[in-house]
Amino acid sequence: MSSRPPANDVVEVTVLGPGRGECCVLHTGRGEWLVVDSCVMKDGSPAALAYLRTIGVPASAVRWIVATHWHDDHVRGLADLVEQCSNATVYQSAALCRDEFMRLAAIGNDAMIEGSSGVKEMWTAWTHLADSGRSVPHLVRADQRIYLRDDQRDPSCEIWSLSPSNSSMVEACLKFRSLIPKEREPKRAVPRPKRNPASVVAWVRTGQAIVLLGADLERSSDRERGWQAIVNSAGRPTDKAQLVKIPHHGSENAHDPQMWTELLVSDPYAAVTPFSCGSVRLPKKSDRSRIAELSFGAWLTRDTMLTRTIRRSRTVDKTFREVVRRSELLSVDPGRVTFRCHADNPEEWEVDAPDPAVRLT
Amino acid sequence: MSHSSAAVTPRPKDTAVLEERITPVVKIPSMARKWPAGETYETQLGNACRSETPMPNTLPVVPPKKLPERSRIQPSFVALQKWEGRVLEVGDSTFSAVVEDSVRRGVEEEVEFDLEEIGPDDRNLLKPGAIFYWTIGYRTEPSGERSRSSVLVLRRLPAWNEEGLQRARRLAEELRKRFDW
Repeated sequence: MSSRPPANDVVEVTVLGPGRGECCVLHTGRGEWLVVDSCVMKDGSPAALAYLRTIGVPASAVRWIVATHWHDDHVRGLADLVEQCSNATVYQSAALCRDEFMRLAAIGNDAMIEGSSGVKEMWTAWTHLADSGRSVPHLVRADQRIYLRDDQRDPSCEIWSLSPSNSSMVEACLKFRSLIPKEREPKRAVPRPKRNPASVVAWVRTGQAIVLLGADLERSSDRERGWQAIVNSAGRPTDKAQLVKIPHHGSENAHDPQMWTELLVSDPYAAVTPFSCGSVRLPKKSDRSRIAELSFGAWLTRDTMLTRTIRRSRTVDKTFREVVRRSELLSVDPGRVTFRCHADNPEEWEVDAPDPAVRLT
Repeated sequence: MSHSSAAVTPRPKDTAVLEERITPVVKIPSMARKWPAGETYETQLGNACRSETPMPNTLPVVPPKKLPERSRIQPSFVALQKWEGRVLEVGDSTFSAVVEDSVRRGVEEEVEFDLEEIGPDDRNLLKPGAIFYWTIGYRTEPSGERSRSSVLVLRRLPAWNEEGLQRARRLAEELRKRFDW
Protein backbone atom coordinates (compact mmCIF):
# COMPACT_ATOMS: atom_id res chain seq x y z
CA MET A 1 0.00 0.00 0.00
CA SER A 2 2.62 2.51 1.07
CA SER A 3 5.06 2.34 -1.81
CA ARG A 4 3.26 5.04 -3.75
CA PRO A 5 1.74 8.36 -2.75
CA PRO A 6 -1.96 8.48 -1.91
CA ALA A 7 -4.39 9.83 -4.48
CA ASN A 8 -5.60 13.41 -4.07
CA ASP A 9 -8.79 12.34 -2.33
CA VAL A 10 -7.18 9.77 -0.05
CA VAL A 11 -6.29 10.64 3.52
CA GLU A 12 -3.16 9.12 4.92
CA VAL A 13 -1.92 9.11 8.50
CA THR A 14 1.51 7.61 9.10
CA VAL A 15 2.79 7.36 12.65
CA LEU A 16 6.52 6.81 13.05
CA GLY A 17 8.20 5.85 16.30
CA PRO A 18 11.68 4.57 17.06
CA GLY A 19 12.74 3.39 20.52
CA ARG A 20 12.01 6.82 21.74
CA GLY A 21 10.30 9.67 19.98
CA GLU A 22 7.54 10.08 17.48
CA CYS A 23 6.39 11.83 14.38
CA CYS A 24 3.10 11.89 12.46
CA VAL A 25 2.85 12.48 8.71
CA LEU A 26 -0.58 13.31 7.28
CA HIS A 27 -1.79 13.65 3.74
CA THR A 28 -4.59 16.20 3.92
CA GLY A 29 -5.63 15.73 0.30
CA ARG A 30 -4.51 17.33 -2.97
CA GLY A 31 -0.88 16.45 -2.37
CA GLU A 32 -0.55 18.65 0.73
CA TRP A 33 1.21 17.19 3.73
CA LEU A 34 1.32 18.00 7.42
CA VAL A 35 4.15 16.79 9.66
CA VAL A 36 3.58 16.82 13.40
CA ASP A 37 6.74 16.56 15.52
CA SER A 38 9.98 14.94 14.45
CA CYS A 39 12.04 11.87 15.18
CA VAL A 40 15.09 10.56 13.37
CA MET A 41 16.34 7.57 11.47
CA LYS A 42 19.35 5.55 12.65
CA ASP A 43 21.55 7.87 10.59
CA GLY A 44 20.12 10.97 12.27
CA SER A 45 18.07 12.20 9.30
CA PRO A 46 14.42 13.27 9.81
CA ALA A 47 12.21 10.17 9.72
CA ALA A 48 9.29 12.04 8.17
CA LEU A 49 11.29 12.92 5.06
CA ALA A 50 12.82 9.45 4.83
CA TYR A 51 9.31 8.01 4.80
CA LEU A 52 7.98 10.50 2.28
CA ARG A 53 10.89 9.68 -0.02
CA THR A 54 9.94 6.00 0.04
CA ILE A 55 6.54 6.86 -1.41
CA GLY A 56 7.92 9.38 -3.86
CA VAL A 57 6.78 12.56 -2.13
CA PRO A 58 9.26 15.47 -2.13
CA ALA A 59 9.97 17.59 0.93
CA SER A 60 8.46 20.52 -0.95
CA ALA A 61 5.01 18.90 -0.57
CA VAL A 62 5.08 19.51 3.20
CA ARG A 63 2.91 22.57 3.82
CA TRP A 64 2.84 22.60 7.62
CA ILE A 65 5.12 21.48 10.42
CA VAL A 66 3.77 21.45 13.96
CA ALA A 67 6.14 21.15 16.92
CA THR A 68 3.78 20.05 19.68
CA HIS A 69 6.30 20.69 22.45
CA TRP A 70 10.05 20.93 23.00
CA HIS A 71 10.92 17.56 24.53
CA ASP A 72 13.73 15.83 22.67
CA ASP A 73 11.65 12.77 21.83
CA HIS A 74 9.32 15.02 19.80
CA VAL A 75 11.70 17.47 18.14
CA ARG A 76 14.73 15.37 17.26
CA GLY A 77 15.71 16.35 13.72
CA LEU A 78 13.26 19.27 13.68
CA ALA A 79 15.88 21.78 12.54
CA ASP A 80 16.79 19.60 9.53
CA LEU A 81 13.12 19.00 8.78
CA VAL A 82 12.37 22.73 8.84
CA GLU A 83 15.37 23.50 6.67
CA GLN A 84 14.54 20.87 4.04
CA CYS A 85 10.82 21.60 3.91
CA SER A 86 11.28 25.08 2.52
CA ASN A 87 7.58 25.48 1.62
CA ALA A 88 6.35 24.65 5.10
CA THR A 89 5.00 27.04 7.69
CA VAL A 90 6.07 26.12 11.21
CA TYR A 91 3.60 26.09 14.09
CA GLN A 92 4.47 25.76 17.75
CA SER A 93 2.91 26.06 21.15
CA ALA A 94 2.37 29.68 22.16
CA ALA A 95 4.07 28.91 25.46
CA LEU A 96 7.38 28.59 23.65
CA CYS A 97 7.56 32.25 22.65
CA ARG A 98 7.65 33.30 26.28
CA ASP A 99 10.81 34.92 27.54
CA GLU A 100 11.37 32.12 30.05
CA PHE A 101 11.51 29.44 27.36
CA MET A 102 13.60 31.47 24.93
CA ARG A 103 16.18 32.13 27.64
CA LEU A 104 16.19 28.43 28.44
CA ALA A 105 16.74 27.62 24.77
CA ALA A 106 19.64 30.10 24.54
CA ILE A 107 21.15 28.58 27.68
CA GLY A 108 20.76 25.04 26.34
CA ASN A 109 22.51 26.10 23.16
CA ASP A 110 25.68 27.06 25.07
CA ALA A 111 28.71 25.79 23.16
CA MET A 112 30.11 23.97 26.18
CA ILE A 113 27.05 21.77 26.56
CA GLU A 114 27.52 18.90 24.17
CA GLY A 115 24.97 16.54 22.73
CA SER A 116 21.51 17.06 21.36
CA SER A 117 18.59 18.34 23.35
CA GLY A 118 15.09 19.58 22.75
CA VAL A 119 15.93 23.20 23.49
CA LYS A 120 18.97 23.08 21.23
CA GLU A 121 16.84 21.68 18.40
CA MET A 122 14.25 24.44 18.84
CA TRP A 123 16.94 27.12 18.91
CA THR A 124 18.58 25.76 15.75
CA ALA A 125 15.25 25.62 13.92
CA TRP A 126 14.43 29.17 14.98
CA THR A 127 17.76 30.61 13.94
CA HIS A 128 17.45 28.89 10.57
CA LEU A 129 14.03 30.46 10.03
CA ALA A 130 15.29 33.87 11.14
CA ASP A 131 18.46 33.72 9.02
CA SER A 132 16.75 32.38 5.89
CA GLY A 133 14.05 35.01 5.95
CA ARG A 134 11.25 32.44 6.02
CA SER A 135 8.05 33.13 7.87
CA VAL A 136 8.14 33.39 11.62
CA PRO A 137 6.94 30.29 13.54
CA HIS A 138 3.21 30.68 14.11
CA LEU A 139 2.07 30.43 17.70
CA VAL A 140 -0.89 28.23 18.45
CA ARG A 141 -3.11 27.70 21.47
CA ALA A 142 -6.43 26.12 22.32
CA ASP A 143 -9.39 26.42 19.95
CA GLN A 144 -7.46 27.95 17.09
CA ARG A 145 -8.04 27.09 13.47
CA ILE A 146 -4.67 26.87 11.80
CA TYR A 147 -5.85 26.21 8.28
CA LEU A 148 -9.02 26.04 6.22
CA ARG A 149 -9.32 24.80 2.65
CA ASP A 150 -12.88 25.13 1.52
CA ASP A 151 -12.80 26.27 -2.08
CA GLN A 152 -15.52 24.03 -3.55
CA ARG A 153 -12.95 21.51 -4.69
CA ASP A 154 -12.83 18.22 -2.82
CA PRO A 155 -11.63 17.29 -0.37
CA SER A 156 -11.96 20.22 1.99
CA CYS A 157 -9.60 20.41 4.93
CA GLU A 158 -9.26 22.15 8.24
CA ILE A 159 -6.60 21.92 10.87
CA TRP A 160 -7.16 22.99 14.48
CA SER A 161 -5.05 23.20 17.58
CA LEU A 162 -7.05 22.18 20.65
CA SER A 163 -4.41 23.06 23.24
CA PRO A 164 -2.59 24.49 25.19
CA SER A 165 -5.12 26.29 27.33
CA ASN A 166 -4.19 29.59 29.00
CA SER A 167 -3.95 27.86 32.35
CA SER A 168 -1.62 25.20 30.95
CA MET A 169 0.61 27.88 29.46
CA VAL A 170 0.95 29.57 32.84
CA GLU A 171 1.94 26.21 34.35
CA ALA A 172 4.47 25.63 31.57
CA CYS A 173 6.05 29.06 32.03
CA LEU A 174 6.51 28.46 35.74
CA LYS A 175 8.25 25.22 34.86
CA PHE A 176 10.51 26.94 32.31
CA ARG A 177 11.50 29.49 34.94
CA SER A 178 12.43 26.78 37.42
CA LEU A 179 14.73 25.20 34.81
CA ILE A 180 16.77 28.35 34.16
CA PRO A 181 20.06 27.91 35.99
CA LYS A 182 21.16 30.41 38.59
CA GLU A 183 24.54 32.01 38.98
CA ARG A 184 27.24 29.62 40.22
CA GLU A 185 25.25 26.55 39.16
CA PRO A 186 27.42 24.24 37.04
CA LYS A 187 26.60 24.13 33.34
CA ARG A 188 24.69 21.07 32.24
CA ALA A 189 22.19 20.04 29.59
CA VAL A 190 18.66 21.33 30.19
CA PRO A 191 16.89 18.35 31.74
CA ARG A 192 13.57 17.30 30.32
CA PRO A 193 10.78 17.73 32.84
CA LYS A 194 8.33 14.90 33.27
CA ARG A 195 5.19 16.89 32.58
CA ASN A 196 4.08 18.40 29.27
CA PRO A 197 1.42 20.95 30.12
CA ALA A 198 1.81 23.09 26.99
CA SER A 199 1.61 20.35 24.37
CA VAL A 200 -0.34 21.04 21.15
CA VAL A 201 -3.15 18.60 20.37
CA ALA A 202 -4.11 18.79 16.69
CA TRP A 203 -7.49 18.00 15.13
CA VAL A 204 -7.42 17.48 11.36
CA ARG A 205 -10.41 16.98 9.09
CA THR A 206 -10.06 16.08 5.43
CA GLY A 207 -13.42 15.52 3.75
CA GLN A 208 -15.25 13.36 6.28
CA ALA A 209 -12.13 11.82 7.81
CA ILE A 210 -11.13 13.26 11.16
CA VAL A 211 -7.90 12.54 13.00
CA LEU A 212 -6.98 13.49 16.57
CA LEU A 213 -3.25 13.76 17.29
CA GLY A 214 -2.87 13.60 21.07
CA ALA A 215 0.78 14.76 21.36
CA ASP A 216 1.93 14.34 24.98
CA LEU A 217 -1.03 15.99 26.64
CA GLU A 218 -1.81 14.54 30.04
CA ARG A 219 -4.89 14.19 32.18
CA SER A 220 -5.66 16.81 34.79
CA SER A 221 -8.31 17.12 37.46
CA ASP A 222 -8.38 20.84 36.74
CA ARG A 223 -11.09 21.68 34.19
CA GLU A 224 -8.82 24.31 32.68
CA ARG A 225 -5.81 22.10 32.01
CA GLY A 226 -4.86 18.98 30.12
CA TRP A 227 -7.54 16.90 28.41
CA GLN A 228 -10.25 18.33 30.65
CA ALA A 229 -9.64 21.80 29.19
CA ILE A 230 -10.24 20.40 25.69
CA VAL A 231 -13.24 18.31 26.65
CA ASN A 232 -14.89 21.27 28.38
CA SER A 233 -14.06 23.86 25.73
CA ALA A 234 -16.93 25.53 23.88
CA GLY A 235 -14.64 26.78 21.13
CA ARG A 236 -13.36 23.56 19.62
CA PRO A 237 -14.83 21.61 16.68
CA THR A 238 -17.32 19.09 17.96
CA ASP A 239 -17.09 16.39 15.29
CA LYS A 240 -15.55 13.18 16.58
CA ALA A 241 -12.39 11.66 15.19
CA GLN A 242 -12.22 8.15 13.74
CA LEU A 243 -8.50 7.81 14.29
CA VAL A 244 -6.35 8.85 17.22
CA LYS A 245 -2.63 9.09 17.87
CA ILE A 246 -2.72 8.08 21.51
CA PRO A 247 -1.33 10.80 23.82
CA HIS A 248 1.92 10.47 25.72
CA HIS A 249 2.90 7.01 24.50
CA GLY A 250 -0.18 5.43 26.05
CA SER A 251 0.70 6.32 29.63
CA GLU A 252 -1.96 6.01 32.30
CA ASN A 253 -1.53 9.66 33.33
CA ALA A 254 -2.54 10.76 29.83
CA HIS A 255 -5.66 8.61 29.82
CA ASP A 256 -8.79 10.69 30.23
CA PRO A 257 -11.95 8.63 29.69
CA GLN A 258 -13.71 11.72 28.39
CA MET A 259 -11.20 12.04 25.58
CA TRP A 260 -12.56 8.72 24.34
CA THR A 261 -16.22 9.56 24.78
CA GLU A 262 -16.27 13.24 23.79
CA LEU A 263 -13.62 13.52 21.10
CA LEU A 264 -13.61 10.11 19.41
CA VAL A 265 -16.18 7.88 17.79
CA SER A 266 -16.67 4.61 19.61
CA ASP A 267 -14.08 1.98 18.67
CA PRO A 268 -11.73 4.27 16.77
CA TYR A 269 -8.48 3.26 15.10
CA ALA A 270 -5.46 4.04 17.24
CA ALA A 271 -1.69 4.29 16.94
CA VAL A 272 0.83 4.46 19.78
CA THR A 273 4.56 5.13 19.82
CA PRO A 274 6.92 3.70 22.42
CA PHE A 275 9.01 5.55 24.96
CA SER A 276 11.68 4.52 27.39
CA CYS A 277 13.59 6.65 29.85
CA GLY A 278 15.15 5.35 33.02
CA SER A 279 12.64 3.19 34.81
CA VAL A 280 9.78 4.35 32.59
CA ARG A 281 8.83 2.16 29.63
CA LEU A 282 5.69 3.01 27.77
CA PRO A 283 3.18 1.75 26.98
CA LYS A 284 3.02 -0.65 29.92
CA LYS A 285 1.18 -3.94 29.63
CA SER A 286 -1.85 -2.45 31.34
CA ASP A 287 -1.77 0.51 28.93
CA ARG A 288 -1.66 -1.85 25.96
CA SER A 289 -4.71 -3.77 27.14
CA ARG A 290 -6.67 -0.61 27.94
CA ILE A 291 -5.97 0.93 24.53
CA ALA A 292 -6.75 -2.30 22.71
CA GLU A 293 -10.02 -2.62 24.57
CA LEU A 294 -11.13 0.90 23.72
CA SER A 295 -10.18 0.70 20.04
CA PHE A 296 -11.39 -1.11 16.98
CA GLY A 297 -7.74 -1.70 16.23
CA ALA A 298 -4.62 -0.28 17.88
CA TRP A 299 -1.02 -0.54 16.70
CA LEU A 300 2.29 0.16 18.39
CA THR A 301 4.97 1.40 15.99
CA ARG A 302 7.71 -0.62 17.66
CA ASP A 303 7.43 -3.26 20.32
CA THR A 304 9.07 -2.06 23.53
CA MET A 305 8.99 -5.52 25.02
CA LEU A 306 11.86 -6.47 22.75
CA THR A 307 15.23 -5.30 23.98
CA ARG A 308 17.54 -4.10 21.27
CA THR A 309 21.27 -4.27 21.75
CA ILE A 310 24.29 -3.28 19.74
CA ARG A 311 27.23 -5.42 18.66
CA ARG A 312 30.56 -4.54 20.21
CA SER A 313 33.88 -6.26 20.85
CA ARG A 314 33.79 -9.19 23.24
CA THR A 315 36.03 -7.52 25.79
CA VAL A 316 34.04 -4.30 25.79
CA ASP A 317 30.79 -6.18 25.91
CA LYS A 318 31.91 -8.20 28.92
CA THR A 319 32.75 -5.07 30.93
CA PHE A 320 29.67 -3.26 29.62
CA ARG A 321 27.44 -6.00 30.98
CA GLU A 322 29.24 -5.98 34.32
CA VAL A 323 28.86 -2.24 34.76
CA VAL A 324 25.47 -1.51 33.24
CA ARG A 325 22.29 -2.79 34.82
CA ARG A 326 20.14 -2.27 31.75
CA SER A 327 20.67 -0.88 28.30
CA GLU A 328 18.65 -0.20 25.22
CA LEU A 329 19.77 0.89 21.80
CA LEU A 330 18.02 4.13 20.88
CA SER A 331 19.51 4.64 17.45
CA VAL A 332 17.18 2.48 15.44
CA ASP A 333 15.05 3.20 12.43
CA PRO A 334 11.51 3.97 13.49
CA GLY A 335 8.69 1.53 13.16
CA ARG A 336 5.69 2.65 11.13
CA VAL A 337 1.95 2.33 11.02
CA THR A 338 0.14 3.78 8.02
CA PHE A 339 -3.61 4.29 7.78
CA ARG A 340 -5.36 5.28 4.57
CA CYS A 341 -8.98 5.91 3.72
CA HIS A 342 -10.98 7.73 1.12
CA ALA A 343 -11.79 11.23 2.36
CA ASP A 344 -15.51 10.47 2.07
CA ASN A 345 -15.40 7.05 3.64
CA PRO A 346 -13.67 7.20 7.01
CA GLU A 347 -15.36 4.02 8.21
CA GLU A 348 -12.92 1.88 6.29
CA TRP A 349 -9.26 2.50 6.97
CA GLU A 350 -6.65 0.37 5.33
CA VAL A 351 -3.82 -0.35 7.75
CA ASP A 352 -0.20 -1.13 6.91
CA ALA A 353 1.92 -2.00 9.95
CA PRO A 354 5.11 -3.76 8.87
CA ASP A 355 7.55 -5.29 11.35
CA PRO A 356 8.56 -4.07 13.96
CA ALA A 357 5.10 -2.55 14.46
CA VAL A 358 2.68 -4.74 16.40
CA ARG A 359 -1.04 -4.79 16.86
CA LEU A 360 -2.08 -4.40 20.48
CA THR A 361 -4.29 -7.12 21.88
CA MET B 1 47.74 9.85 28.36
CA SER B 2 50.56 12.27 29.13
CA HIS B 3 53.96 10.99 30.10
CA SER B 4 55.99 12.92 32.61
CA SER B 5 59.66 12.47 33.23
CA ALA B 6 59.84 14.47 36.43
CA ALA B 7 60.82 13.10 39.82
CA VAL B 8 61.18 9.51 38.82
CA THR B 9 63.68 7.50 40.81
CA PRO B 10 65.20 4.86 38.60
CA ARG B 11 65.39 1.34 39.87
CA PRO B 12 68.81 -0.39 39.89
CA LYS B 13 68.40 -2.04 36.51
CA ASP B 14 67.25 1.22 35.02
CA THR B 15 70.31 2.85 36.49
CA ALA B 16 72.47 0.38 34.70
CA VAL B 17 70.88 1.42 31.46
CA LEU B 18 71.48 5.04 32.23
CA GLU B 19 75.05 4.42 33.31
CA GLU B 20 75.69 2.80 30.00
CA ARG B 21 74.38 5.89 28.32
CA ILE B 22 76.74 8.13 30.27
CA THR B 23 79.66 6.71 28.37
CA PRO B 24 81.43 7.40 26.17
CA VAL B 25 82.79 10.59 27.54
CA VAL B 26 82.57 13.43 25.11
CA LYS B 27 85.28 15.97 25.50
CA ILE B 28 84.30 19.51 24.84
CA PRO B 29 87.23 21.74 25.58
CA SER B 30 85.28 24.75 26.65
CA MET B 31 83.27 22.71 29.13
CA ALA B 32 86.12 20.54 30.34
CA ARG B 33 86.85 20.85 34.01
CA LYS B 34 89.60 19.35 36.07
CA TRP B 35 88.53 17.22 39.01
CA PRO B 36 90.79 16.15 41.84
CA ALA B 37 91.66 12.46 41.57
CA GLY B 38 89.69 10.20 43.88
CA GLU B 39 86.90 12.71 44.56
CA THR B 40 83.45 11.33 44.74
CA TYR B 41 80.88 13.08 42.62
CA GLU B 42 77.17 12.82 42.23
CA THR B 43 75.25 13.02 39.02
CA GLN B 44 71.68 14.17 38.57
CA LEU B 45 70.73 10.61 39.22
CA GLY B 46 71.54 10.96 42.91
CA ASN B 47 72.93 8.21 45.03
CA ALA B 48 71.96 5.53 42.61
CA CYS B 49 74.72 6.70 40.34
CA ARG B 50 77.30 7.62 42.97
CA SER B 51 80.70 6.62 41.79
CA GLU B 52 83.56 5.64 44.01
CA THR B 53 85.94 5.40 41.13
CA PRO B 54 88.58 8.03 40.67
CA MET B 55 87.29 11.06 38.89
CA PRO B 56 88.27 11.40 35.28
CA ASN B 57 90.09 14.47 34.29
CA THR B 58 87.23 15.78 32.35
CA LEU B 59 83.59 15.90 33.34
CA PRO B 60 81.55 13.64 31.13
CA VAL B 61 78.86 15.40 29.19
CA VAL B 62 75.69 13.59 30.00
CA PRO B 63 73.35 13.30 27.07
CA PRO B 64 69.73 14.26 27.68
CA LYS B 65 68.20 11.83 30.09
CA LYS B 66 65.89 9.28 28.59
CA LEU B 67 63.93 7.85 31.42
CA PRO B 68 62.35 4.45 31.21
CA GLU B 69 58.89 4.20 29.75
CA ARG B 70 56.22 5.24 32.15
CA SER B 71 54.28 2.06 31.64
CA ARG B 72 56.99 0.25 33.53
CA ILE B 73 56.57 2.55 36.48
CA GLN B 74 52.97 3.75 36.73
CA PRO B 75 49.71 2.10 35.74
CA SER B 76 48.63 2.77 32.20
CA PHE B 77 45.17 2.71 30.60
CA VAL B 78 44.36 1.76 27.05
CA ALA B 79 40.83 2.77 26.00
CA LEU B 80 38.88 0.27 23.93
CA GLN B 81 35.66 2.26 23.66
CA LYS B 82 34.55 5.71 24.77
CA TRP B 83 31.17 7.31 25.20
CA GLU B 84 29.84 10.73 26.03
CA GLY B 85 26.83 10.65 28.30
CA ARG B 86 24.04 12.81 29.65
CA VAL B 87 22.29 11.97 32.91
CA LEU B 88 18.54 11.55 32.58
CA GLU B 89 17.37 10.53 36.03
CA VAL B 90 19.01 9.93 39.39
CA GLY B 91 17.38 7.34 41.64
CA ASP B 92 18.18 5.99 45.11
CA SER B 93 20.65 3.39 43.96
CA THR B 94 20.94 3.85 40.21
CA PHE B 95 20.99 6.55 37.59
CA SER B 96 20.00 6.44 33.94
CA ALA B 97 21.70 8.19 31.07
CA VAL B 98 21.91 8.43 27.32
CA VAL B 99 25.38 7.57 26.07
CA GLU B 100 26.69 8.25 22.58
CA ASP B 101 29.60 6.37 21.08
CA SER B 102 32.49 8.82 20.70
CA VAL B 103 33.66 7.21 17.47
CA ARG B 104 30.43 6.13 15.82
CA ARG B 105 28.64 9.43 16.36
CA GLY B 106 24.90 9.20 16.48
CA VAL B 107 24.84 5.70 17.96
CA GLU B 108 22.99 6.22 21.22
CA GLU B 109 22.02 3.88 23.99
CA GLU B 110 20.06 4.42 27.12
CA VAL B 111 21.81 2.79 30.06
CA GLU B 112 21.32 2.40 33.77
CA PHE B 113 24.32 2.49 36.11
CA ASP B 114 24.70 1.82 39.81
CA LEU B 115 25.43 4.98 41.79
CA GLU B 116 28.62 3.28 42.97
CA GLU B 117 30.10 3.87 39.54
CA ILE B 118 30.47 7.51 40.57
CA GLY B 119 33.18 8.36 43.09
CA PRO B 120 32.10 10.09 46.31
CA ASP B 121 33.76 13.34 45.24
CA ASP B 122 31.63 13.47 42.11
CA ARG B 123 28.28 12.53 43.62
CA ASN B 124 27.22 16.15 44.06
CA LEU B 125 27.65 16.63 40.29
CA LEU B 126 25.29 13.78 39.50
CA LYS B 127 22.12 15.57 38.45
CA PRO B 128 19.80 15.32 35.44
CA GLY B 129 21.55 16.99 32.53
CA ALA B 130 25.07 16.37 33.88
CA ILE B 131 27.57 15.45 31.17
CA PHE B 132 30.11 12.65 31.62
CA TYR B 133 32.70 10.60 29.78
CA TRP B 134 32.73 6.83 30.07
CA THR B 135 35.60 4.64 28.97
CA ILE B 136 36.08 0.89 28.95
CA GLY B 137 39.62 -0.36 28.50
CA TYR B 138 42.62 -2.22 29.86
CA ARG B 139 44.52 -1.01 32.88
CA THR B 140 48.10 -2.27 33.14
CA GLU B 141 49.83 -2.15 36.52
CA PRO B 142 53.57 -1.46 36.87
CA SER B 143 53.94 -5.13 37.68
CA GLY B 144 52.54 -5.94 34.26
CA GLU B 145 49.25 -7.21 35.62
CA ARG B 146 46.37 -6.31 33.28
CA SER B 147 42.70 -5.91 34.07
CA ARG B 148 39.56 -4.76 32.30
CA SER B 149 38.36 -1.45 33.63
CA SER B 150 35.46 1.00 33.39
CA VAL B 151 36.09 4.67 34.15
CA LEU B 152 33.22 7.11 34.43
CA VAL B 153 34.14 10.76 34.91
CA LEU B 154 31.60 13.54 35.31
CA ARG B 155 32.58 16.68 33.48
CA ARG B 156 33.18 19.69 35.66
CA LEU B 157 31.87 22.38 33.37
CA PRO B 158 32.33 25.94 34.53
CA ALA B 159 29.50 27.41 36.53
CA TRP B 160 27.09 29.89 35.05
CA ASN B 161 28.11 33.44 35.81
CA GLU B 162 26.22 36.68 35.47
CA GLU B 163 27.84 37.43 32.14
CA GLY B 164 26.85 34.07 30.65
CA LEU B 165 23.28 34.36 31.85
CA GLN B 166 23.03 37.93 30.57
CA ARG B 167 24.34 36.78 27.22
CA ALA B 168 21.62 34.11 26.99
CA ARG B 169 19.03 36.70 27.94
CA ARG B 170 20.34 39.04 25.25
CA LEU B 171 20.32 36.34 22.55
CA ALA B 172 16.76 35.36 23.48
CA GLU B 173 15.67 38.98 23.38
CA GLU B 174 17.28 39.55 19.98
CA LEU B 175 15.53 36.51 18.50
CA ARG B 176 12.21 37.55 20.02
CA LYS B 177 12.59 40.93 18.33
CA ARG B 178 13.44 39.33 14.98
CA PHE B 179 10.30 37.22 15.22
CA ASP B 180 8.27 40.13 16.55
CA TRP B 181 6.91 37.94 19.35
